[in-house]
Amino acid sequence: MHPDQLLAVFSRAGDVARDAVGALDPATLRDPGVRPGQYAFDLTVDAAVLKVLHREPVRVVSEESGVTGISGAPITVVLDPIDGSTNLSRSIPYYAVALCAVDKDGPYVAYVRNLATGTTTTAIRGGGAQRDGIAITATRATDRDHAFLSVEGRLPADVACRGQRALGSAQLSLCDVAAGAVDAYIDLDVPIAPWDYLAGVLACREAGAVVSSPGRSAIDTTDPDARFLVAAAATPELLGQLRPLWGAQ
Amino acid sequence: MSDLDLVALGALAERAARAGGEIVRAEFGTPRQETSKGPGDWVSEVDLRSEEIIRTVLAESGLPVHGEEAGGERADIGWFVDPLDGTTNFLRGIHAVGVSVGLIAHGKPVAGAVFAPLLDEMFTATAGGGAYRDGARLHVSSRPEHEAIVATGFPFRRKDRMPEYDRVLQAVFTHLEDIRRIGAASLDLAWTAAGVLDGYFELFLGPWDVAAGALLVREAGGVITDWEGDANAWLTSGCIVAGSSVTHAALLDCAKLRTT
Repeated sequence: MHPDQLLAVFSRAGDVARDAVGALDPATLRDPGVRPGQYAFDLTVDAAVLKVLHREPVRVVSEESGVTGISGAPITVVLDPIDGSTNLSRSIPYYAVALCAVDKDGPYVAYVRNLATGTTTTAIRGGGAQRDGIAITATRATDRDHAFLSVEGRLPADVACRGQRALGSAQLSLCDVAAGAVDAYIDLDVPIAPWDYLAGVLACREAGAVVSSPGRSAIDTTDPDARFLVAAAATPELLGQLRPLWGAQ
Repeated sequence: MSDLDLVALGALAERAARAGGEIVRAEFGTPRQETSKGPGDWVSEVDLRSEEIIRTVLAESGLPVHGEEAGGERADIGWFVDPLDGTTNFLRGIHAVGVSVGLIAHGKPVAGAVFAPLLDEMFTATAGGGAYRDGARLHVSSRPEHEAIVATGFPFRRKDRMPEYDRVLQAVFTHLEDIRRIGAASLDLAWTAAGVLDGYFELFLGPWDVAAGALLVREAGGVITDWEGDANAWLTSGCIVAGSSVTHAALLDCAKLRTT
């Protein structure tokens, strides 16, 4: 599929995700799903987005429904219907639908939409990254002491930086690196799955940022069982100053 | 205080916060100059313009105004204004910013409004009159300690206090579910009042950061103290612990560990 076709599909998926969230009864936001850590709305939004994706010749790997669609299709769409579910469960306005098309060469087309604000980040491999239709680039920050960081987990007290945010969505944090809203993102908490990071990773790369994991693992995977700590930084120099924070991990 | 018409003054605070917020909203996303007031403390011309219009609105009250940017008299009865709380967020395109207008009388907050212009949420409160978001009554959360998510912020004005802050943060990570660092104290407090967050703690804030938000939390049934548990000293020290009674107690226990 052509990237523009995929972006059109993802835009429709974003619309149905927005509508599904908009139709939720606020009193049900804490209702559990069927497995630990899952909310009922995760399943509701997943079902709505799958209706869009299953009309296309793609395989789908979803956080909520596993592997569906056309087995052996050249495109796999990795889906997180709600990244930042805890935030949505409490109405913290930082949660997103995230989709990433992956082909034989890796992440290909990305779409991340903050469903609270509507801000949408897109990327096409080799074609750059955009936020709400405007080209974005990462900052040129090279010095951690003066960098503005997004951190998942606890940054050690002796690690200096200009400022920190912890907002509870890996995909949106990665997109914030791509857009220059923060200079870097690092996960110091628990390893995350491809649906939590692939779209944001492509946005970072296309915006000029660099991405890594401990041991420089191959994170460009659609394997639903893969889990990685991920970091993204505006420059290789900054990333090099963050990697030691993983220590022996 | 008995002579103050809190209903009218609360409505004025709301009008002022909305007026400042309209400037913030109109200018969001536009590249602009920023100036550092100190480590991690930034100001833009939008802060200044927002404060100017807020002062114009509040002039109707005849009460003194102290703003974060232009200063002014800190009277026994007077307004504290943060015209753009979360300037770093604003400058970097992050939507979590607040406009905070609070009236203090004899050391206590009595009326206030916090407006989130980029999220279009208006929070208001008057002493004894309850707290509201867009007209709907607010109540702090009823979640147990282990399900609590609390907001916090670095002591960026006093980085020499990082080690003791970090001991508290470590305890919070251990005993509560999670933390958020959102970067706008007024919204941290407003969302605590609304039960979105379960609590909030930070060191060395200005009275303009917390005057309105603290009233929101109290009027929503929450508890506000300083890090020693003093219910009155937080406004002068700027060291604040806020939350539902359960989360506040848990945070206060964590705060005790800072000197161990």
